Amino acid sequence: MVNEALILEALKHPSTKRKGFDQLVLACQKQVYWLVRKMVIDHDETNDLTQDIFIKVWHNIDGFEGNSKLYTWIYRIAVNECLAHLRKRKQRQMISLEAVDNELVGYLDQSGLADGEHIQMLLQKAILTLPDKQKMVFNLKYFEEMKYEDMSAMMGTSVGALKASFHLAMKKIETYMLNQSIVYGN
Amino acid sequence: MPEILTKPILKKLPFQVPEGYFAGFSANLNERMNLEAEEESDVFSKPEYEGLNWSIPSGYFDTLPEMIGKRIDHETAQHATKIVSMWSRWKVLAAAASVLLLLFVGLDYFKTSEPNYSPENLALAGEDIEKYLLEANWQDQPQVQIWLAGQDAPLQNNEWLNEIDHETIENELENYDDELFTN
Repeated sequence: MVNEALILEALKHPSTKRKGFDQLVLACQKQVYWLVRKMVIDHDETNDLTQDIFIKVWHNIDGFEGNSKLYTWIYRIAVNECLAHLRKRKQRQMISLEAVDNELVGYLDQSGLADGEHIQMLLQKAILTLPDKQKMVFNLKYFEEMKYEDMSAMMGTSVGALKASFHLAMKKIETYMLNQSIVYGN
Repeated sequence: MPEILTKPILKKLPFQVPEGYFAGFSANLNERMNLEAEEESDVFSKPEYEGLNWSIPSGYFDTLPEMIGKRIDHETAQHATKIVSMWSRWKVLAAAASVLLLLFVGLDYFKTSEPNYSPENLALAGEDIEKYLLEANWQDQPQVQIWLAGQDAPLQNNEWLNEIDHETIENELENYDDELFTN
């Protein structure tokens, strides 16, 4: 088990900084990777972005003042980088948002999903129909089960707005899935 | 929460992950750092994060820290190289500035500026013309004399020439002529 306080202590001293950072990467890599992957879908793109996020953490770690928990701070960087990346991608490709989402659905179709589990695929496709920030809120709440307070500190959005965003996201996803005439359970 | 989203299966997607993919992760943490956990907190307390079961290249998380480490080393080395190469950069900048300066001076030499029609410039031109006419002995010509008279009159008062009769003008020109040749 890794201790945040010990990592922070290691990061403070030049002689142990790199070692502490390695520990940090080991402790957080999966969380960051999956946070990005759920938004970006494609592995290669996720890999690049995950590395960029940790590089940014490395360059800015001296500025971490300890006002929030370390993982919250890292998640904040990850969330911002992720949303910025998606924004840039949409601008770069100069195509409609719908076309980008269709492309992501294409990636999703090739992502090694086991046959027969259409409901999960449908959920992912439904998530892709959400606006980026709403998508992020849904992923953090639904999959990560993150507290609204933590999310609020991370995204700079009020708890109330996050709750509303999550509620709207759920309604949209529900509508999407029901429209697809999925038969589920019971 | 809508009933459709309450199914536990939704949170564990059946994507394929190579067997033993995350094996050894926890052990590495202790090996690479002689720090012991004293208290647990949030993300750091989770021994094994379970992401979605989407396919990832085999051993990806074993190599990711190394890839990030290499990038940091590369950036650090690149940063050091940049500091060393600043001199050559300054030289290039100095050379570029010199070329630009020479180009600017050269262009300025060939530059054809718009004629300056300010009263000072016109007065100077009038002096030149006056000198030329006198040297050519054209001052006896009536038109030239009128023109010469006009040169000394303020620009806004030139219209007086239209209102006075020919005799007055001739007298004026005679006086002017005398004055001109006595100086």
